[in-house]
Amino acid sequence: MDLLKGTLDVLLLKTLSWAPLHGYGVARAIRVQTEEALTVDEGALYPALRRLEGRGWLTAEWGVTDTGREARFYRLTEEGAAELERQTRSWGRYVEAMARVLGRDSAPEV
Amino acid sequence: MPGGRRTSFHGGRPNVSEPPIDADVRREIHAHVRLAADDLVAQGWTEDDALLEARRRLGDEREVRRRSEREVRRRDARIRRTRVWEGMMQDVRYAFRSLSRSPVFTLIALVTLALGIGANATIFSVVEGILLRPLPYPEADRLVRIWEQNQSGGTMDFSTPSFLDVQRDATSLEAAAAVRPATLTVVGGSEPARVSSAFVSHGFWDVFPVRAAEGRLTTWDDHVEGAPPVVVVGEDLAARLFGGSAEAVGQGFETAGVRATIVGVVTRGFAYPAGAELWITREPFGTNTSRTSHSDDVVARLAAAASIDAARDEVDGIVRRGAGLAVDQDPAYLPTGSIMRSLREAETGDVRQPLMLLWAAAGFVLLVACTNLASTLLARGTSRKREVAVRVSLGATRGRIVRQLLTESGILSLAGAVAGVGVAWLMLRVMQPLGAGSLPRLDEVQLSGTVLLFALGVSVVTAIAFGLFPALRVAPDRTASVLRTAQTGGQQDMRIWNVLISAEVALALVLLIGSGLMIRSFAEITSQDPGVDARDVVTSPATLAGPEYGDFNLRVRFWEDQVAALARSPGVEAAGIMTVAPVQGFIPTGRISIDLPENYIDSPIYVTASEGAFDALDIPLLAGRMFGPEDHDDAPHVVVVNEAFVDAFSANRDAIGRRVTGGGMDSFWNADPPVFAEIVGVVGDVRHRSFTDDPRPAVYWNFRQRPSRMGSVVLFAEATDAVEPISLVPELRSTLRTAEPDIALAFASLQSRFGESVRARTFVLVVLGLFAGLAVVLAGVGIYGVVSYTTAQRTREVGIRMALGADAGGVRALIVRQAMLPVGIGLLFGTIGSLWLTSHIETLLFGVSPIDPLTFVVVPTVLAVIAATASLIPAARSSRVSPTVAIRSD
Repeated sequence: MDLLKGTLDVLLLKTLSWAPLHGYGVARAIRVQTEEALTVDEGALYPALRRLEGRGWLTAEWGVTDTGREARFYRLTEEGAAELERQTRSWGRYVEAMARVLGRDSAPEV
Repeated sequence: MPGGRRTSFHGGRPNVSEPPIDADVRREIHAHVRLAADDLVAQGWTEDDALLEARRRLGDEREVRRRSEREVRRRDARIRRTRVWEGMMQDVRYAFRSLSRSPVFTLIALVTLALGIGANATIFSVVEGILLRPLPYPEADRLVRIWEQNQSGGTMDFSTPSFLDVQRDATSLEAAAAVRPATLTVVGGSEPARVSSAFVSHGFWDVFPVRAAEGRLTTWDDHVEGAPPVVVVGEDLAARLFGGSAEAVGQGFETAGVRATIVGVVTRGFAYPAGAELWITREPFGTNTSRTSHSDDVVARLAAAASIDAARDEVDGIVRRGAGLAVDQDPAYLPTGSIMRSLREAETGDVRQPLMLLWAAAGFVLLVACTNLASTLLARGTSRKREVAVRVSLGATRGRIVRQLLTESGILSLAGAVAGVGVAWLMLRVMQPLGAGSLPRLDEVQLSGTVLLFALGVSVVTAIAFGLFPALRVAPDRTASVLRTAQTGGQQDMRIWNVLISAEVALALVLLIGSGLMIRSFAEITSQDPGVDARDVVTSPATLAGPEYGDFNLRVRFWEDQVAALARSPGVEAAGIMTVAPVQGFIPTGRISIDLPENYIDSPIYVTASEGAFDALDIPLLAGRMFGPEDHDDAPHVVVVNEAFVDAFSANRDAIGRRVTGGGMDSFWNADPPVFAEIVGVVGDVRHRSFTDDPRPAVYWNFRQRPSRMGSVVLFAEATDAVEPISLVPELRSTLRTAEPDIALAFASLQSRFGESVRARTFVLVVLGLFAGLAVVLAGVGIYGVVSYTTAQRTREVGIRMALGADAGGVRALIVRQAMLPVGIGLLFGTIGSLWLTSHIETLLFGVSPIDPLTFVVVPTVLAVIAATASLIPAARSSRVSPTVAIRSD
């Protein structure tokens, strides 16, 4: 399943909230986390990371992986964490609203 | 770095010396491919296949790189913008701190600028409102005013047949109308009122397509001979006299000797000709068929596609053709063509030159203000050289320091502009009542957006032009030694200050001389003898509006009785009437024949009067006798003439006993044979037209024998010595109202009427004087400031001189002498500049030469004294300093 438009940012921020990661690691983490339900278009990944970095939500520095490869590691800033929280809340409201509209027929009764 | 705050930019690259963007992005993509390939190899792919597969999954690598780089560049641009903004804000904060540390300097600079910019914004408002803004009529740019051209190439009003030709034949005109302004007495409303009115021809409402707020405008059917006269009135008049627009329509009233009906009301705001509130159809009053009688003001609207040049040519041709047809008429009174101007130019042409003069004056005030600002900024900059040197040594670049100093002058200028707009607002409040009635459209003038833009523009130019130079002077070159810069430059600065002082003095002198010449002109004008003694005299126009006064005998009897009754009133020395007043502007003239019809002089003033008017105005009888009650309408007709008449016609001959007729203005002349009147007396000259217009030949007819002119007269009453003239008014008014309740009156002292005649000049004079005064004060403050500053810099030198034996007087003299050198140079240049500039205002002067020696001697002397005083104060202060203190200083 491809990502819905506008969901990439929040996924990246969430992923990086666990630990600093390089770009490839972020993509892999999302794939694993969603049990391959969501795949990030790798071509869109790097411009997005750079954009989030430009907004001040991420910082980046070059480092070396456990396997000895060099990579650019991204880390969530404080502003980034705040932004993640904000976006998470608005996603929660969105999902709830969507569920209210769609869930009546399709969602199982709790 | 003073005021410097290390700004952190969240997430930004810490400094600009990072690796180039493209290399960084490329490296990251390669790292990605490597890591992805490692995973694939772990899953059993061969190394080569794994790399290929990793690249495939990534997609178009070049596109990924391009988009990533774009994101980075966007961020960098954002950071740069923020840095510039932060830098500016830092400059602004620094400037505010620095300005508030020297409040006196800041205040002086602000006031200087506010006055300079305020003066300009004021005059610009007036210029914009009067000269630049379109007239408040629909599609006003297509409105034109047309005249016939007289034999000497000047303008004269149209004759009616000629106007009708133009109205009918000119295809380049969409519409044309003849207008004759008049003050009509309206009887029938809530009270008799005198109303600014106009007799208008058919086509008037096509030239001015305004809408009727109530009722209708006049149409072709109203504009024919024999139709009942109808009027359109303004909303205000309708409310004032008839209780509202709706109520006014259909109302009848008496005016101009007829009964007229209101058919419509136009919305407030339309008033052509200026001030008109009532428009009456003119055709019912008959149509003048003479091509030599010129009394139609013609306005027209150009056809949509027509240019004014094409219209001018066409109308010119039509007028010439008409003149060519009038073969049996006196060619002296026929037009030689026509003259056409845009209505705006026609309405404001007279004030263009005075306004331009005031604008130029305001410009000079601003220049003086800016010169002041420059020298103050320079002085301040010099005293801050040490501070600047410190900043340079801490790494500030020259550009940075110039920018910093420019920010300071920019903030000053902007604040000056804001305060200047306030000054302009105040000045307009003062000017509007002062100039009301003398400048057209002055009441429309306001601080428009254009004016605010103008003030802003002036302040920006000021900030750059007069802030940049001191900033460049103060900020050292990178190559110059900081220490050297901090200590030298005194001699060079001295030269610059001298130039600034010279410039200020020169500018102020030009302004002062200009106003000096205007003041002298004004004094000359008002000292002209009007030929009457206006003290003790009250005057009022008086109109008999009722139709019954179509009976001339009734008019004569009314005035005969009333003049006698008024003269008997307590406190009245003498009373009388005349058809014209002294110094009143427009006056009727006519051709007068003497002894024989073909023996005539052109255009003497034609006046009808009662003998009491000569007594009331103290017009002396120089020879012969005055007419009186014995010269009743059946007696032989008699006139008196003035000296100018005697000079013009019968120099060295006795005028008394000769016989005159004419004017082309009454039925007696047209009688066959013409009725002649005998000259029985000669009276003193009166300036009927204006103070500046030399007395013209005049013939005074006996009102008993020329009753046709007595419908509208001017009343004069002279108070006895013990009585305040204006206190007579209630008694005079009640006497007249008792005799005729419908008589319209407007009393005033004759002297105040004289004041009104020079009001436009008074206005220009007051404003110009104000500006000149401003310039002098600013120049004085400037000189004082510079001398104070330079003297303070020389405290040490002064101390040494005094320690070596110089006395205080010597030191004072030295300082003043040194300050007066640039003042002298400024006076020299100012005089030269004035000689050149005043030749341009020659037409505004009266009775004084543009190189009037008195003005050119007195004004520079006064300015020199002011300058000397301004430099003496700091000189005196410096010479009081004790030598030991002085030598130790700095």
